[in-house]
Amino acid sequence: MWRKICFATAFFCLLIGGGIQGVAIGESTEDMVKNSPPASDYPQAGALILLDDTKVILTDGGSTTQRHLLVKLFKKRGIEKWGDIKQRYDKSHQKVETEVARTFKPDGSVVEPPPDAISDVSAPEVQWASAYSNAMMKVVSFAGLEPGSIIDYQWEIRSVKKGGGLFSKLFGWLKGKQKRNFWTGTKFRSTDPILEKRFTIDAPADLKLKPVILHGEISPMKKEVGKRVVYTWEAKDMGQIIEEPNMPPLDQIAPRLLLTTFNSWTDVGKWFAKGFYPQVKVTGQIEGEASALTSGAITELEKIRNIFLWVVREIRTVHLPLGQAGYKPHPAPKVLENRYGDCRDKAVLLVSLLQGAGIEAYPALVNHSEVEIDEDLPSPGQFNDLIVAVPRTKGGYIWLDPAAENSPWGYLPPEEQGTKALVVKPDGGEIVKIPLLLPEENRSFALMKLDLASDGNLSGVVTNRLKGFTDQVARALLKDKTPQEREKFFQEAANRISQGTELVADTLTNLKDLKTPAEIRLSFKSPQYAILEGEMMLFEVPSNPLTFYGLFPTLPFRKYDMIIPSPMIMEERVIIKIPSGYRVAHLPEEMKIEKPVGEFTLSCQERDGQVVYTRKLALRSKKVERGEYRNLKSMFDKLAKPQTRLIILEKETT
Amino acid sequence: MKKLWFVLFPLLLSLLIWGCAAQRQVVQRGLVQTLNQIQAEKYPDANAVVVFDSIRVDLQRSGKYVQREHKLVKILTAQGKENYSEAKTGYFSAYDTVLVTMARVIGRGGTIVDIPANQIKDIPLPAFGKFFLPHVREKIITFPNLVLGSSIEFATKDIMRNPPMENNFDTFLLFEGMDPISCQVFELIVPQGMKIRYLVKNENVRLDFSRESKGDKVIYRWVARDVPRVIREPGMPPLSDVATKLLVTTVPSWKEWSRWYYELASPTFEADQAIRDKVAELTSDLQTEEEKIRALYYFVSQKIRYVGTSMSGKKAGHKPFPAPKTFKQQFGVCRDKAALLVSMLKVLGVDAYIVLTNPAIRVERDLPVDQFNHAIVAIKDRGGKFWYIDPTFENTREFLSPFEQDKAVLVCDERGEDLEFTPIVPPTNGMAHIKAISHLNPEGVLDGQVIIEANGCYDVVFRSWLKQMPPMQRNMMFQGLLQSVSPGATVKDLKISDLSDLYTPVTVEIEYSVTDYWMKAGDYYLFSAPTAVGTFDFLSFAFLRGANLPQRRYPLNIRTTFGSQVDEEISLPPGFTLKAVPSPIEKSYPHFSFHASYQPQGEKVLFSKQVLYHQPEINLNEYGDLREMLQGVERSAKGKIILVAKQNL
Repeated sequence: MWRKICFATAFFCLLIGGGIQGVAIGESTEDMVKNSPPASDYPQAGALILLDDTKVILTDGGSTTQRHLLVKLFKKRGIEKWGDIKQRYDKSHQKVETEVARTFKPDGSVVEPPPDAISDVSAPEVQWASAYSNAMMKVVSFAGLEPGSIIDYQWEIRSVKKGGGLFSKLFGWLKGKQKRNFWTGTKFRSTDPILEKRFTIDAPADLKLKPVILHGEISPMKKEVGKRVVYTWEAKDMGQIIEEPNMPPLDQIAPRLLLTTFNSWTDVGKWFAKGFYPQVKVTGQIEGEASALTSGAITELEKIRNIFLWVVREIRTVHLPLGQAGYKPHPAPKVLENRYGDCRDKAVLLVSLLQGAGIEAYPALVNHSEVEIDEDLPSPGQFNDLIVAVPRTKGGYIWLDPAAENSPWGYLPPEEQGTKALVVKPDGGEIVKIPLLLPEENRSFALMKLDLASDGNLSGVVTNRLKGFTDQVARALLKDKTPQEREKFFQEAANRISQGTELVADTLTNLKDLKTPAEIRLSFKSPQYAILEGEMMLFEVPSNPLTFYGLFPTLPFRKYDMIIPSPMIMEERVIIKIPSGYRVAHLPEEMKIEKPVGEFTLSCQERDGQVVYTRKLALRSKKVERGEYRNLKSMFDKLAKPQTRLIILEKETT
Repeated sequence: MKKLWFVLFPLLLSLLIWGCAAQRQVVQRGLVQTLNQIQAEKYPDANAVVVFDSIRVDLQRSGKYVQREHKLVKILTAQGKENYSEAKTGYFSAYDTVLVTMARVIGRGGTIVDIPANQIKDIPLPAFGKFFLPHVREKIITFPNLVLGSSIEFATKDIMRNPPMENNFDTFLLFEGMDPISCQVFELIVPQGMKIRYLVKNENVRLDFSRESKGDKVIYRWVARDVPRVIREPGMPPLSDVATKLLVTTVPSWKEWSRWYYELASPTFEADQAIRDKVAELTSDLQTEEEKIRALYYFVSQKIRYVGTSMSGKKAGHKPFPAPKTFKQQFGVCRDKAALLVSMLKVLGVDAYIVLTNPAIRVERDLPVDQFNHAIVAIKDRGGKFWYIDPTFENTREFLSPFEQDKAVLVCDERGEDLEFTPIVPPTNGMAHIKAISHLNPEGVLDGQVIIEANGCYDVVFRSWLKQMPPMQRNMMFQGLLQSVSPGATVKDLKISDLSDLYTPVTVEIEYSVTDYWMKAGDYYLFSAPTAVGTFDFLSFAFLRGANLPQRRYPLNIRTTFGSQVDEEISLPPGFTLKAVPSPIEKSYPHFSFHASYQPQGEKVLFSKQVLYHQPEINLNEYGDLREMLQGVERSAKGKIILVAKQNL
């Protein structure tokens, strides 16, 4: 029964922006081409989307999506972007047909791509997930492209059920007829300007569609035709989005239509549970494995930890977003046997093992792309990842991502923190907010003990203690390096202090052990580090050579909010032994800047023949709203000035 | 029926039990022992060990062959598991067929699990870059149940039905890789009388060679044992340039290759009327031959899009499409673009040829083995000398990309040519010229103007980057770049020359402003010359990243010759006196040099800096000198101009 439901819903499952066709416009295409605006009207654009028309037709037999794209190319980068249009499809149940593909050239001639310019190739992700993915791409490479050319492409994606004749299909459908579920979405703005965008759903009237428009207002036109209803959303003259560094994803900015037929998150949960829980199988082998993993554990938390870390480490992760290869995992024993899995499979195995150890656990759908979940729209399409939630006895959940191979125990990857998860229990789902860890949980502390000689030579030891986000980054970089590879990494790091710096030694904790916080140390010698100018010695406090994350806001103003991976604290404490024969002539000024977005402190004091220099930057949030950005920028501008690191020493007069 | 079932059932059951048992055989004791000896502790720098990798080629006189590969790898680390979770073999159905004849996982204890058929896939090659090739396919074996200490083993059979050059065979393979190798064997079985030549380059590893006659065959065998892994270094040359490499060929000479490819490609040079008309349109108003050649070159490089959508015909992947086809569809890969340019040049009456080359790896001259992956064009001048044009790289002003220096080229003509190499271009031919005027006011505000005239690789880099961005994003990019001059620097104005105009070098003019530019330390005011820090002549940092290592095992590949000349005039604020400027730095070596100096001139300081790299690769014996020079570069970047307020004197 689940197969039929899955099959039915699979017909209607469409990812945002994917594979929907429009109706051929015929003569009006010619008019649009003839009347298309010149490049001078769009000085920032590489191309202009004259028309993007999508129509989805839902029937009892499946779905057909028609799309019509008309794109005028202004610049070479537009040609590069649009010259090869790719349409994804799943070869196990979809087919793509090209209806029209042609180029209107500036001289008025029309060129069609040759037959060998229309290709069916495997989608790129298949190269690392071939065991999972039937993903293909239909690619049309357009001919005759030059600035001023217009691409006209019309195509159709059809659901195709393999095997059986018409009667068996109909009979099978009637026999297994359940409430059909459907969800889809599209954006009404992009990095190219759009003259006209249209999205139409033609569905049976009894299919209760629930649309939501985010980040904008576009009202649909509704037409009833017999037992069918047709909704159309249309937007015109949508401006181009010019990307800024560290901006939110386009899904958070562009007016976005989301559609669903689910009534509630409970219903979404029930639908997902029907596919997931039957695959949770606590076989003898799974129970045995769970028992072996928890035999030395005393508390329940230790048991959870042991099982979780085992799944993280021993089951190879196949990186595929949730939904791209479906929603139903393989049976847990199969995942255990294969020793690899995508997020669904790793989640089902983790839940099975935890259950085998007598611990309750649930799958939880999340979005790891910094896209906020709209609670008014119950739809699986809002999620792209699957993790696990273990209920705590005192309320709340322990959140576990079994694909997070570089996250220390207890730390959920930052892109999943602060988001809303759909926790799916056997009887339904509920939206739960995952807490965002405080900056204190994402703290890096660097201690540098430096010995400055009177000839300007510098030696020292740098010790980095990492927690949370920077721990994760460091592990991703270093965990799998072999000793010689690590040696080269540290040599390069030491050279960042200054050219010619010699690495003396390096140590680090076992980064493969996700239970142990990361600590990394290097000692070095840096000849002629300080600059001697007459009686003076100019000494620049070295930057931490083992910084695993750098943030520097560059723009004076922003149009969009700025996204930071995680709230964090970055702290360094540098203790510099003053060379004999010298005294301190100048130290950087103390600084304390406090803003809602964060704070920065700098202090530099001389005591007992040493200079103690401390800097601390705390960022309180993952998002810096554009109104707050100027404060962040001015804070960074001050803290990054060379004068905040310059110490001047003078020879002592005898 | 019941009786039959009573008979059949036990038979079926026993077959089932035998089948399961057969699937989980215990592998031979000897092999288990070998595998058990390979432990992570003995290979601390390895993610996996290639226990053996044997390739056997059964060659026929026609050039057809059957290649059998058998590989066994033991997994030592999680990274090794990741690296060997799948085995892939590409093939093209017009040339060969690949069969997987065996695939299994050997567990730690020696148990075997055969890979089921549904985990061996045959799929169209996944799209990569600008290549959408439906007829090129991959056989992918996914290995389940991999744990540390298990091993993967597979065997494939590649049947070559259509050798590129009939009646000939050539290959090259490496005997070093990213994992240590216990034993690697290459065996070539040829008919008696078939002349084979072979050569080993970069002999870091000893290859045991044997030649044995057996009936009507001769067996050549090369064996390498206990080969340590290669540890990657930043900036190292491609692996095939430095690893132990065996080259084998039956092709008698480079001239033979040259003739072969000429015969294959020349029919595609035939122009149609559309091409002839276009040549006339592009060149009729131009005077000199060079101008005309350049016009045609820019047309092909700019107007013919680079994309690969099919490989068709008997010699697909080698033979270009006919020039009229490429011209009409306005796209093609390198060989298509090269053939079209040859066609157009011939219409012009220029003596033009298609050329095979490889801009990425070193082609070994000693033996005529196909190591090419790219096609360009050659023109024979009146003196009989060849010079070269690459119409593939869209952002290159010069006829040849700055990254194609000292690269092997094989001009393909009727009589056959020998392998030659492209010239190394003096860095002064492709320098960035940076002129700057900076004003510092008594409040410490710096107003600066920088004009960058980019040539050579600087031109290619700027053009490539900036063309991809809308103008507003270019502004953002330079805004970001300026932060390295000083945090808080803001772009006041940005002018960029026409990036589509290949006749003119890219010129960028930036006006910017920085508040609080200097550092006040007591009575002193310290600041760097804005152009001293290397913001605008940034390629040194990009191309010399590998110079961070104290020692290297491999040369440092900086990919091109290049240089920059910076001249800055800094106006000092009124009311201040110059106290000190950084000392000049002069570092000159045979193949690279750096000079930086400050010249006080009244109320101004003139700063000048020049860096030159004369070779695309820094040899190991020069590396220490390079490091020393880079220390000088850094000192120059850190140097401070020091002022004192006149009232404090």
